[in-house]
Amino acid sequence: MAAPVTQLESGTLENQVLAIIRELLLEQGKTQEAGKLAPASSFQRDLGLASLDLVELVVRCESKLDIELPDEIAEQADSPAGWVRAIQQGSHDSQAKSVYRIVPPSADAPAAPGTARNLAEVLRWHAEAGPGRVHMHLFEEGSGQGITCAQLLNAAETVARGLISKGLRRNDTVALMLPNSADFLHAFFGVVLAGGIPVPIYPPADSSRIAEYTGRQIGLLANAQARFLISFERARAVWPILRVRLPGLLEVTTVAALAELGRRASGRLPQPSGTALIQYTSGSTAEPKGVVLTQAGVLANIRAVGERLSVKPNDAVVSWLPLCSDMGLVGCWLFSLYHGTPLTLLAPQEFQRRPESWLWAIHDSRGTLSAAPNSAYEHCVRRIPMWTLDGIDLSCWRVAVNAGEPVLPSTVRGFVRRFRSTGFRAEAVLPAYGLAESSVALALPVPGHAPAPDEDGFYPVGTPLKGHHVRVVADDGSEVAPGTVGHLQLLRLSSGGGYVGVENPEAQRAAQQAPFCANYMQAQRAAQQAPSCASEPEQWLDSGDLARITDGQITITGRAKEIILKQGRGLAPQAIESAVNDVPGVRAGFVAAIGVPDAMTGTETLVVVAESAATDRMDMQRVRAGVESAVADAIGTDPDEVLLIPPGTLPKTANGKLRRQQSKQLYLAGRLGAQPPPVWLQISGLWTRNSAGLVWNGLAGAVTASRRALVHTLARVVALAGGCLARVAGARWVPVAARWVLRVLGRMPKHEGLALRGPVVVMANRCGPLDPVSLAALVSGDVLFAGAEALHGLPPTTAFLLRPAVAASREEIARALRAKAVVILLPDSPVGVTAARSRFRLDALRAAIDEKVPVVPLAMQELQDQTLTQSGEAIASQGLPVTDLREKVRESLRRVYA
Amino acid sequence: MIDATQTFHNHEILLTGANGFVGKVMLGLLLDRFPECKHLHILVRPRPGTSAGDRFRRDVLTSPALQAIVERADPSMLRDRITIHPGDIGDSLCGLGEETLEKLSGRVSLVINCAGLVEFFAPVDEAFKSNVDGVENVIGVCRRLKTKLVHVSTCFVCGEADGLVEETEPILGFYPRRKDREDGSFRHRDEIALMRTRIRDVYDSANRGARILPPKEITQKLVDLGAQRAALWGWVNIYTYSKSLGEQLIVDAGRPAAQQMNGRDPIEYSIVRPAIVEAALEFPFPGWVEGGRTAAPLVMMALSGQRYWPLRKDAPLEVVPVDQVASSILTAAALLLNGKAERVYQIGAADRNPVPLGSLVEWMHEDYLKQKRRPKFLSPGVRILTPQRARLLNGILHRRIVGLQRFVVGTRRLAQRAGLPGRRGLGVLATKLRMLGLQATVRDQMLELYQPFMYDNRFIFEAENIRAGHARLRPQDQVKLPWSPERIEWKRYWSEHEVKGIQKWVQAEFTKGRTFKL
Repeated sequence: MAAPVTQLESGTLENQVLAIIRELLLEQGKTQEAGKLAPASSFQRDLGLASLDLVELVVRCESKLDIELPDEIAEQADSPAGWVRAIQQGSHDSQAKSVYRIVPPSADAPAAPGTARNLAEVLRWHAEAGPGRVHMHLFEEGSGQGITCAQLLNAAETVARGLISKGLRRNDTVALMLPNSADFLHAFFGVVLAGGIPVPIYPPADSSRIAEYTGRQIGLLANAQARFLISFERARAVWPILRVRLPGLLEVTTVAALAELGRRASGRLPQPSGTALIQYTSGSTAEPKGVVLTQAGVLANIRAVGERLSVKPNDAVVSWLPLCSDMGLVGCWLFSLYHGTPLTLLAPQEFQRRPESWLWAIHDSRGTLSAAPNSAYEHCVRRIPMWTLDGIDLSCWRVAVNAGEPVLPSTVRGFVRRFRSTGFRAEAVLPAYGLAESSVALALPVPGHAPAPDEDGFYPVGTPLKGHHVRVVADDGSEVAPGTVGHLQLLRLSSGGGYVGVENPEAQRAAQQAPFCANYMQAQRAAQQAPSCASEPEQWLDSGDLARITDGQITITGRAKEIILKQGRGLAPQAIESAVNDVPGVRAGFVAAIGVPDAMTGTETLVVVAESAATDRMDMQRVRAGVESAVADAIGTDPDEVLLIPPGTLPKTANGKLRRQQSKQLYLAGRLGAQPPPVWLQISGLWTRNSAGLVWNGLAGAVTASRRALVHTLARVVALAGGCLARVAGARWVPVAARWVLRVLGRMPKHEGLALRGPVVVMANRCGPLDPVSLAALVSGDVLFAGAEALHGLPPTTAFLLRPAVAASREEIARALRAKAVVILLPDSPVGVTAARSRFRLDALRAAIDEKVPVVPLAMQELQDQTLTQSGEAIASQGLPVTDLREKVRESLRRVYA
Repeated sequence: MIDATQTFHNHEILLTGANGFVGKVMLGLLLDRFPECKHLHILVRPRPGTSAGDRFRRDVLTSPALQAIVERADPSMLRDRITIHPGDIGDSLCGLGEETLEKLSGRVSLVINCAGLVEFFAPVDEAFKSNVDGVENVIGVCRRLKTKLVHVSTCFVCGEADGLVEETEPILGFYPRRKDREDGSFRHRDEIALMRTRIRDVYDSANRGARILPPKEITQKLVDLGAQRAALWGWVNIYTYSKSLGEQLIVDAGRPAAQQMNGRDPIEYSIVRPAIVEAALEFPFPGWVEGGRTAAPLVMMALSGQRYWPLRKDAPLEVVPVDQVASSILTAAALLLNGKAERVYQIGAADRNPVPLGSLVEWMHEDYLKQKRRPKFLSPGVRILTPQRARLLNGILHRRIVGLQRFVVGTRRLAQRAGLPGRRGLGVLATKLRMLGLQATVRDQMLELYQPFMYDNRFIFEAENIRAGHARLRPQDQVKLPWSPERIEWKRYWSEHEVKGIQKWVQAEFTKGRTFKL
């Protein structure tokens, strides 16, 4: 739709915009301004166009030029030239968005750097071999850009120099908390080139809660011994918190800041670290588990996957997976970097919002390889309306890897059926298996065959990749016969790393069960000792999954560890539980987080079960909200369900360990939280124990409440009756009725011998809602309120009672004073305003001067349901200017009040 | 008894701000009802390319308000007894040259200062230039020419208020959150000096910092600076804050010589504070109104069918017709020239004859229905609610519009991709929806701008002084300078004068060449 504008030269576009502005100016009769109009003139200062006029301009430009302008344009640019720039930029953006012509992979792609020893060499190789070749089509926040390896190398070197000048040493770890963005790419390779070790961390889902979120990551950062945290601008605010808790952390910084610094620095970059990165996975405990991935291990895995998939020079990869996950980082980005296949990268949020964007990206880039967890495929099946796929062609998609979560036959079948019309082939589906400990992939089938589940509904995930070895063992550690289900174990590659902070193989093995507090130097030693691990061939790692091997083909059948796999991300139940334990209202230690497979979404739903003593609906609501926010803070996503159950109903082992599997089964059966003893027995026990107290409290409460209600009703009736009487028999009944109302309420004002007798004007402050009634009750004889503001804030029945005694005009007040009535003047200020700030109208005072009647200040104070009244000296009004009289009375009022 | 006619016959007057809404009507009153007045000196700021005289002729004499009056006025008066002086109240001694001052000295006996910047949230340097520096310069001229001063301010200098606002409130040291009359924490000289430094700081930092700020950002910084400072003391916007500072400068200059700096003579002054100035009751003709700074945006919103109103039912809207304001200023001038004036004249109506906001919006909604020829019983009627709720409802509306717009745009893209017809029509529809969304946003902003006057506060301005002052005029002059807010029948005034006037004079101007209407 932006076609007309993109074809315009900037000069023509400027002329068009100027013509539109001139037209508007002329229509508004601003001929002078129209004459002075120039591309650089300011809309506000030179042309006198206000914000509404600018909105008008936006609308006109849009309809005349057939473009879409952002609403903020008027705020960002204040001259026609600025608008032209914004329109051109905007059209480039929208061109990138909708017409982004992704260059198809050319056959003359450079060969993969088979001799490369580390990631830095891979990047340098491609930057030299194909400097102009687009390595990545990156889409972030609606705009797209092509990034070549040369650009990436250039930017990364700048970041690397910045890091070095900040004091990064070789083999230091640097945490990256960034979304899928150019910043991540630059930061990752910046760290690699600077000899550091990148540690990707999930960014918070909501960047405004960065402080809380980062606070929760302290354990992880401490474990990784991170020297720097590279994040977005907002995260810098967290630095003061982190500095206290993490003495090793030198700085929280941003890519922009590092690049700024790096541009000024120069010098040789050091040799890259032997460790490619540290990938954190959810351990089986609350403590995070960082897997040290060596350069050789990562490259070997990438090469093995490429061989298995027989990557061709014209392949193209599409991914929306977060770069901080192993599948997104190693499996998609580094994989395509190594093999020279262009990668189209979307943001995960974009996929969640509009899953069709993934498929369109495959269409647009003629993508051949793409990977996602099972839930993503299910998301596509359920959330993509077919009309949004009009004209899409997915026949190019030859490998659709489904990994990271259990592969469900229903999802696979549903996906194939739904998207068959777009050219998607069933043979493309590739159920796979992998884990961070093996870099990313462990087993892949050879593509080209439609996968078929076995009779139990499990898909075989192929044979182990080249250089990777697996075995299946029984509980006692002995290898089982082929076709028998057991624990899947993998043999670490000779060049493979280990866990962070674990020194020797025995400890490595133990690390899978026990929490470990890391010390980076120990981790270093562990990495150095890696060759010694290789000398010990029987270095088997438990994957935590149950599997069987038939004819060399692995089939994953279940999970032994209690990791919850939610949307491709492993969540440790312990981390969630420890966060929930702190929520007030939750019984600490009696919390279970369980993952329940959900056929609807194709992933696991996260259910948090917590024991709580709360029984009141409001209380439970509060506790539930607390649990939700605690979980969100801890892991970045909300739980799908929070179940509060009565104390003592969560299944535990004899020695108090949680039995999550049993909890899960009970949950599925809908029996979680059921009371063990019969309900009637409990209630009757409670009754006998507490009946006396219950009865007494209930009765006493009821009596108090009903007495209050009775009193108020009675007072209302009296007020209504008094109001009627006053209307029939004259306003002199108002004080009488007022006294009765107060007597019924038990709130007669305290007045030491104070009785107001006319003719007098009484000026009183307002202290409580009922003080007009109290004042009326003090009067013997006739009473008149000067002005309707006396009735402000009164209950309707009381206002009804006093209305007959309200004066409408100055003449009426004068007449009443002549008839020896008491005229009460109340301020037109809210209740509780101090005497000095109360505002009094002048009518009554004028009448007092005219009739030569004294004015009495009356200070009222409300103390514990009692109104105290104190009167000041009467002030003779004769001959005073009215405003002076007001000041005088107010002064006296203030003195009495004080 | 004070003879205003004779007073104006004896004294020459210097007038600033004659091309404003109030100034024009006041000038008209003088021309039309006091043809015997001695001489009028009018300060007009020349614009680049337009001389002061031309500007006066173009903007004032030929404006709809004065056209008929100028035609029937005595041509010799216009020729001989009105002098235009080019000048700017923002400049020292209002930019009047030494020669002019020499000529005027001894002749002029009163300055009426109607000039001011009425924008609620203007950049604070601009607001200060008109409303603070301008007042300082006018005081300088008064001292130089030894004249008295009538200064037009606004009732809303009281800031936050709930209920009656008295005329006797001491002005010097006033700030809305003042605890009592002894509270001396606000000193206008210090405040003005502080603000001038901070304005300079903004400009300095803008040019000296790492990057040079674009004018837009400087403006925003200045607006923020003023708004924060005003809110700190309790004023609802920058306009009332700067106006209050101007008043304090005048009161300071009017203190006895012993308390003055260098023992200068005190100036005699009178401050006239109109509330919200609205359409004329009868002069120059019923329903004359100008400019969009009044309640006009609210009226236009009501007439486009706005149903949700965040307002307090019991709060009155303090409006007063422009001719009543103009005649009050002249009344105050006549009293001051005779030495009988009060310090402050508040010009409001609500202390005797309040018009509740709730009824006001209902009347306007009735007018809207009448104009759309829609029967009343079919309309759900206006809803009065809290600002939070109004915002919520408007937000829902806005989201729905945006959702619909997205759908239409999506369909349009699809149609385009599929080569189906109807692309043009969908494009038009999308543009329309977009404009609807923009309107909703503009309305929201407008309601927020008026929230202090409709919901946060309840303003009732005591207008005893003008009532008493008006009663002192000769009966003939009382007819010439009318004061009658007590007798206004609001419902009739509102639909016959205000709504019609705004539709005729403001809306046309406001939406001229605009595709979307408020």
